[in-house]
Order: sequence, then structure tokens, then C-alpha cells
Amino acid sequence: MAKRRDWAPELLSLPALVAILAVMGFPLLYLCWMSLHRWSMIGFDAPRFVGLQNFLQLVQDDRFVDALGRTFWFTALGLASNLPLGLGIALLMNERFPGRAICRALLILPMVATPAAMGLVWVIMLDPTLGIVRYLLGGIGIHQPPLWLSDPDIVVPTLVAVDAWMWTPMVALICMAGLSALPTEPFEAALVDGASVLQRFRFLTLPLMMPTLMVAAMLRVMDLLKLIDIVYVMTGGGPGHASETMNLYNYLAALSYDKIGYGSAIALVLFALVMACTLVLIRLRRPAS
Amino acid sequence: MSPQRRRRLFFAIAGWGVTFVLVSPFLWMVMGSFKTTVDFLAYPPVFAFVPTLANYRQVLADNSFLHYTLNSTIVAAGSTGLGLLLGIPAAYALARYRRTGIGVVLLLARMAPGIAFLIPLFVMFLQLHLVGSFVSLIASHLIFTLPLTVWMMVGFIEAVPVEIEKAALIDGCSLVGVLLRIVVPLTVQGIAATGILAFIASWNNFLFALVLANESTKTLPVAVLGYIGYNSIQWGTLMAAATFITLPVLVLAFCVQRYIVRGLVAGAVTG
Amino acid sequence: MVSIIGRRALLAAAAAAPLAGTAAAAGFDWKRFNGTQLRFMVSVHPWTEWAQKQLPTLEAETGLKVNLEILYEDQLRQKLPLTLRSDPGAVDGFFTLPSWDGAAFTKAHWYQPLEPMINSDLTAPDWDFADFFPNILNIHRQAGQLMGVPISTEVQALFFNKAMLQEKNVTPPTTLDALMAAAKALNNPGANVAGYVTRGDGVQALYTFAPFLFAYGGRWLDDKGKPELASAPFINALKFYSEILRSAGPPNILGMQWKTSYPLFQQERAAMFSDAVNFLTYFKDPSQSRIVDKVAMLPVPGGPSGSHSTVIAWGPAVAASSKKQQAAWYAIQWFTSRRSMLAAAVATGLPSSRKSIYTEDSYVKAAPPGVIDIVQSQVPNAVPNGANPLVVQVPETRAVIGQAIVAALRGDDATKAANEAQKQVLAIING
Repeated sequence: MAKRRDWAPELLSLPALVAILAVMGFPLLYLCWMSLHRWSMIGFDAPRFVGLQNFLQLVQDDRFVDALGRTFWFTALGLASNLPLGLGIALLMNERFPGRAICRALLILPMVATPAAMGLVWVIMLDPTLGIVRYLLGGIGIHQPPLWLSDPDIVVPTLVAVDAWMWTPMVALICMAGLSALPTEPFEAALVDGASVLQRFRFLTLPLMMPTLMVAAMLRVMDLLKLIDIVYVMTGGGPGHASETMNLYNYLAALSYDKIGYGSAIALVLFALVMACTLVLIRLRRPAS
Repeated sequence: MSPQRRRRLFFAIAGWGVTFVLVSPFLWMVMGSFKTTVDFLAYPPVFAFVPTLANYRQVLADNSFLHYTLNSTIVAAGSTGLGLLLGIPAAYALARYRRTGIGVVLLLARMAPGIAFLIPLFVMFLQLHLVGSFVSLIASHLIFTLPLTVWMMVGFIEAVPVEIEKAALIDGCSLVGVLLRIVVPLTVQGIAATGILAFIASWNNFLFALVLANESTKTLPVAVLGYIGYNSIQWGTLMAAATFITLPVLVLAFCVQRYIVRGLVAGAVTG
Repeated sequence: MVSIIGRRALLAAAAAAPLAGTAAAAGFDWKRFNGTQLRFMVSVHPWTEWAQKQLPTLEAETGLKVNLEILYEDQLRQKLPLTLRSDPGAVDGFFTLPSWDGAAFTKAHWYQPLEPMINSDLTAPDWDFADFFPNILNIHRQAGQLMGVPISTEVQALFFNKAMLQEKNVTPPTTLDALMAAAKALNNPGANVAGYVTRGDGVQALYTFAPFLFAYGGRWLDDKGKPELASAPFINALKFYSEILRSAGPPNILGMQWKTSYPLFQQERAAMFSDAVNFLTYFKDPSQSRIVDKVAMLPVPGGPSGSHSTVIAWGPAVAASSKKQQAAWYAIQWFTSRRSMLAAAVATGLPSSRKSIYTEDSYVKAAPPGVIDIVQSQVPNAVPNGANPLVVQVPETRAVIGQAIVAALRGDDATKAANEAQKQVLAIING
């Protein structure tokens, strides 16, 4: 078209752009620069340029490789639990029953709670000796409950469960909105044709909900890959390193072990990872919609 | 019982059951806030106990706690207000004019591991002598409130019929005028929902404040960790403080929970 | 309902008041730096909580306006180095724990040696430097120079529940073998009660593991500053620690931090408990403890090389980059004067680093029972700063050694774990 490009919209988004570049741009450049250096906060030595050495060291660092794998495991478990449960809760809340409105309102409670405080509440609830979870399990006959946060094999699923408790409501809310936007004719037609509940779900609901589920998946993947809050508060990465995510290792390396360059390298790898996964999900969404 | 009623009963039990499971940790926390520490840690868990207001008295008597509440409010209001101010125009540009540049930048911001920016931000603010100031906290919170604001507002803006704006533009109204006089009034509910979600996100954030705040600007989530002493944890008081922190956020969230969904989904679909 | 600290603070205020006048006596000008503003970065600690309440009195007597920034330990360890390095002059003094900070801060030249100021006219004549325990002062010495003033004497103890031991006719143990036997005898998983509990979280466990290491005659570093972790004492200590906790500890010992270990003892879910003596105050607090009348203490159990607790001490130091060093020293000496330290000891219950306090009636009455004995009996044999290896890279080293402890607690081979730790710590030290 021969019309001259209207720059007014750009001007509208300019302030936001400037703000984000100010608070993110400088740190990002700093991060990139630092990842190529070795720098200790102890003393007044200037940072020492080491090129790609930090990244090469990462590849050989068992603890990093473990954290990488573990972060993927967290994410996979998270998606596998959050998405079905969220959809399930949404389907449930779609049905009419007395008090449904109150239930829907209460759903957001876990989402808005302060993670730091709730993490501590969960720690005490899960305590194998003093916790109420043990008591309740004893009530239904399980007298040797799992050790939850103390067992290196189930500390990750336990943390995923706490995270799921917090964020499945968000997935449910997204699914509820998606469900309410579904066209009703296919379902009416299916009912007329005599399709069972399961058939309706498998051939109508699920495919039609895919775009919505993808949106939820994208949001969850971004947050799960960066998981740190509840890990920091509840286990500190332990026992040993059994629950250490990449973000936590990055935090510890930079702020505790005084290896700012190395921590920056970890942060950049994590950033790249989140970008890659998000792009994959976006690509997957396009054909469906 | 008719199949209809049986069905409703089944879903009522399931629905309430799920809700109860989701809400029970809160109930435990609130109950704990009325217990003494020795009762809170008791096993078997104590359900019948003499409630005490001592924990709340201790939390509120400590003047600092009210000070921290003020701090949290300032930071959350500041980063929300700034987020809305900067985000609504950007969302408009994205929604109506498909200027995806800002969208991509904000998506990147959403993807970035925020805490990786803590040291550079700390050093940057140190040079500017802003460490521990509200400016540094509000500015750092923009990293998540701005993407959230734009993400949600895009959806709400798209719900407004575009004809009204087109008519105003033809009449000679400037873009800013359209934004202020047409779009904003029509999306007030969406703005409220967005604002409240941003407020909640900022209110609950603790890792940023842990590094960037000092005693006079400390926010509530960081203060809650203060009940973990050098050698002991005052559980009862901790629970009271935690309940206290969660309450305002709960009230706000209830008010707008219908709109939160709309915004979350709509923004995502466009994004 | 006033908390224990609150009640003690009231007592302390009453005790301290009449002494207020003595400082001005000797012609020493406490108001020399009147009007100066100072900034101290400190961590959460009963002493700093007490100190914060004294700020108005400090200002009244010296004119110094101190901004006491109280941070969580993690926060302090992150922000203090960043600030000292990036903004010299912003901080005038800070709280330091030499076992953790000592080597690093000395290397960075962040400490200002105090003795030149102590031995000059900047120090009040009645401050009484000689009143401090010499070996406690040594905790804050780096290469012979005093860098901070210790404000308490933190040793460890073996706590036990008198009633539970009497019930099973178990004599309170003083040796490692007796401890192992007692723990196994008292262990009752059926009733949800453990025989013995202490820290199981790798990084935190170094502290409570140390007395076992010393009991076997081991040490963290050799004379050249290299780790001595592949040694027989370390491996034996590792085996003991893992055996006693695996066979008589709570089921979730793996990863257990102090914040979930001491409640077990407090709620009578464990018969014995080891950690810092400071915990006694909380065991004696009826609002949180079931064992107020049942708790007792013993020195840490002895092994082939005797009984050796760790002894560490936090204390204020002057920042070398501060432009108000002398004023900062004034504030520190005010807080660490005999009068202040007595008030602090009475208010917090913490064993003091000054000898004279132990004979003052007000402290003897206020001290939790048994604390004075436990401290005085163990200090001569205690390992100063023994909580972890005294290297520059403390957090990283602690994480690595912690892994060895966690591996042993998990049931892995102790020798392999020790060798692995040795290898990694060497790599860290060699940089």
C-alpha cells in the first residue's frame, strides 16, 4: 500500500520499550559480559576475561548436568500433572451443582498465596514425625508414610505436587474460559448421535481444547523451567542436591559461591532453554489453530 | 433419587472435595495462627485447642510490621501503576496495529530468569545510590508486571468493538485521544483485573526484595522470613504474619476473579 | 504475654540503669564524635535484636546515630561483600563470623585491625580489654591481629530428656560408645520417637558433625591449609555419624535442618539432641516447649581423642573502607563495654565473652540453668572456629563436604565419600 506508515502506534509502545530495556537490557548485557569473565567479589581484583571457558566448564560440571536434567524432569512432571488436573477441575466446575460459584471463587486461593509463607506451612505439614499429612495418612491406614522432602527419590515429585497445588487453579481457570468459548452445536449433535461421555470427551472436547491447553502449557513451561521459590524455601536444593533446579544452582553459584561469571553462564543457558521450549510450543500451536 | 439429582450430588461432592483439598493448607495456616507454638507442633495434631490472640498481638504490636505493610503497598502500587501507565498504550499498539516488536520484547522478559538479573541490578542501583530505595524495587518489579499487564490488556482491548475507534479517528481524534477517551473507559473492568493481578504478583514477590530492599523498604514476604530467628522459629507468630499477608490479596482477588480468566486467556491467544 | 527475651530485657534495663553514670567518670569523652551517622550491617541474632533496643541510649550517651541494618544471614552474606566491594565507604561496621568470613574478608582487606585503636586514647580506660577470654579473642584474630570483638561464646552441647532416659534406665552418655548405645536403647520407631537427632542437611550438618570429627582426632585442614578429609579420623567420624542417625535417628534425617530437628526434641519425639547451647533458651520456653522441666545438658561426647566442642563467636568489626572508623569503634566499644555486655547477657541468655560477667549476680540468676558450667567446662578444649574448614571459599566447601555427609547418611560407602570430598575441596582451594 502506498500509505505512509503511521508512527503513532510505535510512540505508544515506546515508553514501555524504554522501561523494559532499562531494567532488563543493562542486566542482560551485563550477564552476557560477565559470563565471559571470572570474577570474585572478595577483594578488589578486576574481572578476568576467560572467553568461553565458563561454558566449557558447565558441560563438564556434573552438578550442572544433573540440575539440567532435573529441571526438565520437574517441568515434565509439572505439565503431566497440572494439565490433566487443571482440565479435570475445569470440567468439574463446568457442571452445575449447588455452591459452584463459591468453589470457583475459592479456587484462586492457592494462586494468590505468598509462596514463601505457604512453603513453610507445607514443610511443617509434610514433616514425617510432626506433620498433619502423616496423621491423615495414618487415619486411612498408611502407617509408614513416604519421607516426602527427605527422600531423594521423591523430593522432586513432592515439590511438583506443592507447585501443582499452587498453579493448577490457574490452568483450571484458563481451561474454564476455553470451555465456555467452545461451540455448542458439535456437542448437541454428538448427544443426538448417542455418543457416550468418554467419546464426546475424546473426539470433541479434547481436540477443541488443544489451543487452550497449549496456552496453559506455555505459561507453565516458562515458570517450571525457572522454578526456584519453593525449592529455596522448602529444601534449599536438598537433600544433598536432589531437588536443585538450574535456577537455584545459578542463584547459589553467583550469590553464595562467589562465582559470578559462572552463575551468569548458567543463567544464560537457562534463558536460552526457556526461549527454545517456548518457541517449540508456539510452533506446535500454530497448526492447531 | 432422580438421575438428575444424583448427578448433581456427585458433582457437588467432587467439586467441594476438590475445593476443600485446595483450601485446606490455608485452613491449617489460619488455625495455626491462633495456636501457641507448642500446640502448632504437637503430634497428634491438635484440633481442639484454646485459641489465643497472642500471635496477632505480637505481629501487630511490632510497629515494623505495619511499616512493612506500607512498604509492600507502596512497591506494589508503584509497580502496578507504572505497569498500567506504560503497558496500556503498548497493549493498544499491539492489539490494534499489530506492532509485535514490543510483544516479542515483553515475551522475552517473561521468559528470562528474573533472579539472574539481581546482581547486575544490585550493582547498577548501587552506582546510582538507589539500593534499598523504593525506586529500585518498583523498577525491578516492572520486569514481571509490565509483561503481565500487556499480556492481559491486549485481550480486553480486542473485546472492544473497533468501529467506535475508527469513527473517532475519522472525526480527527488523535491516537492518544482515542486511547484515553474511548478505550480506557470501555475497558475499565479489564484494567481493574489486570491491575489487581499485577498488584498481587508484586505483593507476593520476595526474591527481589531479599536482595534489593533494606530495613526501611523491606516488604512483607521478606518480613515473614524474619520470624525464623537465629535458633528458633516462632511458628504461631509466623502463621499469624502469613495469614495477615495473604488476606488483602485474597480480598482483591475475589473481587475480580471473573475477569482474571478472560484476560489470561484472551491475551494468551493473541500473544 | 511478654516473650522470654522481652522479660529479660526489662530485667536488664533495670539492672543497667544505675551504672549509666560510671562511663562519664574517667574523663573520657564519650561524645567526641557527637552527631556522626554510622551504618552497620548485621544479621539476625539475639544479640543484634538486643542491640537495636539500645540505640536510643547509645545516641543519648555518645551522640552517635547508628543505622543498624538487620538482615537474614543469607542476605547479609550476599549484600555485605557486594556493598563493601562496589560502594566503599557506604558501610562503617558489620557483624562477622570469623569461621565463615575470616579468611575471605582478610584476603579482601575488608577488616580494620582494632588493636591500634584499643591501645590508644580512642578507648575508654574502663573498657577493660583484659576482661575478655584470650582464647575467645583469638577467634577474631587473623594473622595475630584482632579484627572484631566477640560478643558471645557459642559452644555445642548434648541435650537430653531426663525423664526419657530415666524411664529406660539409661545413664546420660559422655563417650561416643555410650552415646551410640543410649541412642539405640532409646530409639522407639513404633511410638514415633527417635533416640537421637541432630542436623542431617549436608551444608548445615558440618557444624554438628565437627565435634565427632575432633573426637576421633581429625581436623578439617592440615598445617599447610590443605584438606585432611581422606584421613582415618574423618572416615571414622563419618561412619559414626551415619550409623547413629540411620539406626536411631528420625526417619527423615536426610536433609534435616536445625529448623525441623529441634522441634522434635522439644515435642518429646527425640530423646537426645546435639546443637548449639543457645537452643536451651527455647527449650525452657513454655510457650513452645514440652520439656521445660525435663531438659538437661552434657558436654559433647568424647572419643579416642577426647571431647572437643566447636567454639565460634559472632562480633562487630570495623570496615576498612569506612571513612568514620574511629566513630565506628566508639559505637562498638560502647556495645561491648562491661556494662553493655552484662545487660546483653542477662537479656539474651547468651554466654558472654567477658570473664567478669560470670561472677555477676544478675547474670548468674538470669542464665538458663547449666549453661555457665557447660560453657566453662568446654571452652578450654574447644576448637576455635572449628565449625568448618577455614578457607576463603566457605560456602562452596561446605556444600562439597556436606555432600559427603549426605552420602554417608544415605548409606553409601564412607571411604568413597570422603575421598570424593577431599578431591573436590582440593580443586576448590587450588582454584
